[in-house]
Amino acid sequence: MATASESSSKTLGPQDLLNEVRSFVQGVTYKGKVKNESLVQSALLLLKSLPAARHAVLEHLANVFGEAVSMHLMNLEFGRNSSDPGGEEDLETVLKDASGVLHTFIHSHPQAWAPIISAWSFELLGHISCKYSDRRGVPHPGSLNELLQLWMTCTPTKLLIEVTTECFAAMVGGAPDACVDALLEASVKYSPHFDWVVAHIGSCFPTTIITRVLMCGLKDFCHHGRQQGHMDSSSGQEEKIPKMTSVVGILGHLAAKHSQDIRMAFMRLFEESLKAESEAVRFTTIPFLLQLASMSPLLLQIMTTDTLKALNAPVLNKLHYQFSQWKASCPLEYESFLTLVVHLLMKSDVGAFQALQFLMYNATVSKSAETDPSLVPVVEVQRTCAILVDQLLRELEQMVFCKYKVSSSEIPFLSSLCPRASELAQMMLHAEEPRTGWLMRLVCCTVMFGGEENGAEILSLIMSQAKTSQQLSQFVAVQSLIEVSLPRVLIGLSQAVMDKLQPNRQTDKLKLMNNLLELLDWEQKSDKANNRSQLRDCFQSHWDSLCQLLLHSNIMVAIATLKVLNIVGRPKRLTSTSLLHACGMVLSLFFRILEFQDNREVSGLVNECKKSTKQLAREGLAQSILVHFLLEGVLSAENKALFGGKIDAFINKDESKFLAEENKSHGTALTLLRSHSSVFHAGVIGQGLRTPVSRLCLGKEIITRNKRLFLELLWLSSREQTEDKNQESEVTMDTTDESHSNKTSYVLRVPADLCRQIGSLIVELTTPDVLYNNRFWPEEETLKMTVERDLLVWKVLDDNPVLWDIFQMYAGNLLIMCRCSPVLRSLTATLINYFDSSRERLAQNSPKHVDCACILIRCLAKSHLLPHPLGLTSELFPIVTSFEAYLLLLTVWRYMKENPPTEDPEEVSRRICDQRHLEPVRAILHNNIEHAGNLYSRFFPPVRPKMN
Amino acid sequence: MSGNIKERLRHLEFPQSTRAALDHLVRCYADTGGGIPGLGGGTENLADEVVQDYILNLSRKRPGQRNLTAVQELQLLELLCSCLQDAPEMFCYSIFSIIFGGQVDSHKTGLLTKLVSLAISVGCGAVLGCAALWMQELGSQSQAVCDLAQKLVDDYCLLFPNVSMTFQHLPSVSPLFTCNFITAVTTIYTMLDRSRIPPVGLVEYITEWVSSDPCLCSESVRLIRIRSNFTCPLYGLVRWCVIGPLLCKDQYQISIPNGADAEVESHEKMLSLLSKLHISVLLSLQAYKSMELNQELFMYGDIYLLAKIIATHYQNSNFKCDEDSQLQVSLDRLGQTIQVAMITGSLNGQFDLRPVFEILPPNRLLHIVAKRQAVIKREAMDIS
Repeated sequence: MATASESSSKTLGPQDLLNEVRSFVQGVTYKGKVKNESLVQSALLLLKSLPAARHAVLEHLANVFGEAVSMHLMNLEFGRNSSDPGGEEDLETVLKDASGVLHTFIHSHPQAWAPIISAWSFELLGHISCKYSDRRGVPHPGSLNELLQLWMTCTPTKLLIEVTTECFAAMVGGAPDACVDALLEASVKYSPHFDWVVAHIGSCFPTTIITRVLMCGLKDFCHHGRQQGHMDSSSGQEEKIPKMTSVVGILGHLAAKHSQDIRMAFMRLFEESLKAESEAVRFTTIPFLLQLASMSPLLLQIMTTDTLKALNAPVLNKLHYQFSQWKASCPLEYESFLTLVVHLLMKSDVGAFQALQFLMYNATVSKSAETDPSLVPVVEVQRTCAILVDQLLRELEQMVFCKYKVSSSEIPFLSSLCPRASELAQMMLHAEEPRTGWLMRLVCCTVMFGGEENGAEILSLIMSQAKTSQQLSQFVAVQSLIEVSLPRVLIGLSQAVMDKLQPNRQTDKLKLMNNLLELLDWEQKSDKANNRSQLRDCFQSHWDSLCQLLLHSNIMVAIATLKVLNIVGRPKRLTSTSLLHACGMVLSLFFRILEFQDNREVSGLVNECKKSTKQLAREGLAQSILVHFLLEGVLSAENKALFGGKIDAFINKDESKFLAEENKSHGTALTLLRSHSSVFHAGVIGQGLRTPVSRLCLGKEIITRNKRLFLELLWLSSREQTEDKNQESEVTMDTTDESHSNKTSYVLRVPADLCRQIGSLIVELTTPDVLYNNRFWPEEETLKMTVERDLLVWKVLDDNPVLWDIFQMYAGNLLIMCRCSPVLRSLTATLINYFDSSRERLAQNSPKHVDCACILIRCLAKSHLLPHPLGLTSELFPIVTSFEAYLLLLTVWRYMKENPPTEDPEEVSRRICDQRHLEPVRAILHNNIEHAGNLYSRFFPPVRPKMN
Repeated sequence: MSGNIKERLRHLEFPQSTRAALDHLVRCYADTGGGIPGLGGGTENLADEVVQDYILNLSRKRPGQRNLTAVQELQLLELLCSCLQDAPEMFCYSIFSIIFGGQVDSHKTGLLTKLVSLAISVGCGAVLGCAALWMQELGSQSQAVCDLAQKLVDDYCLLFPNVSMTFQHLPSVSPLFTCNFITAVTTIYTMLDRSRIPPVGLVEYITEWVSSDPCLCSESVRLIRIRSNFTCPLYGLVRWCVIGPLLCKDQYQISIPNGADAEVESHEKMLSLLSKLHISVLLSLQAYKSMELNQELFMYGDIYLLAKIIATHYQNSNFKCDEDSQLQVSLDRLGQTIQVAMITGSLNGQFDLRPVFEILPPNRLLHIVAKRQAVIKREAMDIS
């Protein structure tokens, strides 16, 4: 079409042209007489051949475009008008011709035509989008995408924007400033309806538009800044600089697809400002960039990520020297500048962490840290950074403390730091002053912003990572600060800590437990009026789970746990299961502690065990469990050796340990008791015969010590808890308290039920079967039948000498002794047999048997099963012959046979020794009168003449 | 009658009112019989008012009043054009000058520019003739005329090159207008630095015009009989021809690295055009002599200035004199021009041109010219 009319224009003579002008003018003036299409044709003809008609033709075309848009919108709104089916299409064909002609012009003489046509099309587009903006079919200017879609589907505007783009393409090479300026002008004039045009053109020429738009904005900013005489203020600037808004708007449109270009343009601008010759550019670029950033989050993000990277020490120093004069001359503006920076920091999200690091690094970097002195910012820069950090923290604190709940959109800085709070906390732990203080405040702000969960995590992190007390003290500092707004944070913390203590977690459990212990310890010792909630209270609810750690393979962890448990204190109510577990685990730890060599250490640790036992033993059930485990444990193959017991050569401790570890590696939880049932991996197959390993021999002192500690614990566990019941309210038991109770009741009182249990247990543990386990002592003749059994019992006691000590401890208790009667009987029987057949003249030559006999008789005597003179016979054993010893024991046997043991203390006290039984004793005394003279009167006091 | 016309016009809308106003103007001049302007007895004042109200002010942007749209403006131009075309030739300039004469203001000039542009397109000789006189009156090197010329160049050489047959045949429509136009154009495009190089299209037109009619450039001089001052395009054209090759060479060297074919082509075209223009200028000088107008077209200062520019250029370039072919070309042209000018009497032969030759780099032709001049001078002295 265009070429056809071009050829016709060649033939157009001057007169024809004049006629054409006349008819065109007539056609435009009297609308409706000439068809629109032919009028446009005529206009195009004039446009191509008559320079003077240019303005008129463009004006007419603008009207036609406007009409076409109106028609398009009308059709959109009311549906297609059936009475005028082809109207829009015809018009569109004509418009296509027109834009074709314009394209030809732009192509053939770009430098001349592009400015004219682009100005025209900008104006027209602005006019159209403004004029029809309130039409029903046109979306709100806010929804850019919808708007873009509408106008790009509308043929006239689409053609126009194509023409505009073409112009732009033609002009970009030659005079980019001019065309961007025109774009900005139009944008300012028709904002916000013009935005879609900007967005479209911007996406066609991203790099140019971005760079130029920034340059134009800067120029404008410079200009306004000079006019107003001050450089920036965060408020009210938008009205003063209309171009800024459209600059931000344009960049905002382009941000989605071309953020990389924007980034680069930003950086280039910044770098150029450093090198710039002109003072105005140098002074205004940075305020300009900040101003932009304050108006658009995206630009802020670029500022905080990319620009910061460029701000190394030399650049900072340079900036400092550039701005120092300004700073000195306008202190108020400098203040507001800093405030702006702080507000920008608070608004930044993606780059928040880098920004923070940047500030802190530059605030504290020291000359010694850097080898090159030029890489260290000058003191003023450091001070400014410090001021900024301080101000930032103050602002943050204000916001966090003042409001009950801050929404995340309010402080992007904090919301972006929240996920990295743990990183911050670690930095805090390893930082030096003044960074520690800053970081602590920041961590507090972050945590308060992030909520309890966050807080608990941070606190648990500090607790698990602190290496020194100083680091640990930050826990208390942080806690007391954040508890102001997060009152339940410690409960969360306790959960977090327990989570970290799970066996499958890779935490340094020893450090964690020690830290927890240290804190608890401090808490206990410090003033209770301290304004913070107590760790103890929180951890009490986790008592059960903490107990599991008593079995931890690292004994130090187990010990720390024990101490922690002691401070935390057991909850008042415990299920029997957890009680059972706890008792078992404490005792198992106790036996492990006994393996230590160092006496001091062991006694301290055992004291902890005792404390724990005392806490546990407050209930009868617990007592019986404890006693049961203690007695079972002391005789078990694993622990026997600790108390001087003989070990079966085949049971070898090392290997059993190995097996236990093997089992641990299979299992993940430590919920099972350390008993045989927990060893479900019963052996290692394929190692052939187990070679007997020489058993570990413990020193006598250690064995004695262990026995003593064991008996103490047993004593504690089995004694009656009468006095403690009154003190139940007071959970902690002081040492003074303990000694006091010891003094008042030196005698071991054992509850009756427990006595029976203890007695039965000892019998059960020492006798091979229950066949003869009644309390009656049979005829002497039957001794011959039970020899083997009796010997077995003897062997058990021989293997486990600690049993003798147990007997002695419980000797005063009639009930226990009565229950133990079968054991005592078997022992007596063995001794009788021994002395009967002994070849030694003196009983003393077999000291072990004499000792045993003595203990045996003393036990019987102490429990009043053996009445007065007979109970003293133990004193005779060292001096008598073997036969006499046999006789003595036989006498005891006979007495016991006639007076079988009874649980009734009344009856026991009523018993008197028959003279029959005293005869052998008297005879033996007579026989050895040279040695026993002094004893005689104790056995047989001189009969006083009855005085009254 | 005078009150009558104003009353009548007030009730008319735009096209009619202006048409009536123009009719009135024409009738005025016809009635006074083309008498000496100023003796019309108040008609002139009235005409002036009518012109202001119904022609000029219509398109002037004034607050609070409706302006003409571009289409209406086009209509106005068309009316003016037809009016002047149809008016008797003897009153034509009077009517023209009552509209566009007098105080120069930008709006008036703007409207005139558009009118002239239209006139060129539609070949309206009357308008162009009037405009030529207007130019002559203001002086073709004045700002207003240069602005007009610049707009015309934009329209016909940059925006619409080759579009109008009439522009190509402009000398046949109005030789005086063409002549003044060329003068104005050479004032705008001085060819003294790179930003002042004329567009190739313009040079092409001018070369065409000058070569087809050797008397064209003397048109304005011819009016010396009725006007005291004159401007002549020849000096400007000589400057183009002499300085052009040097400047084009520089331009060419700058654009070579970019290697755009179009630019190389236009550069070569420009050089060949200048060469053709040069010979046309020499022919024009020859024709000038035959017209026996006996005015000196060139001053000594003009020649000295050209020499100075060449010399400066020579000093700044790092070529040797005989290696630089373009320098030799411009020196040759200068020599030829001086020689022809002296012979045709457009340059006073009495000037001592030795200072000019002294500052110039060596050139054989110049050497000959200098010797020849010395001979002529000696002869003249001998005769005296």
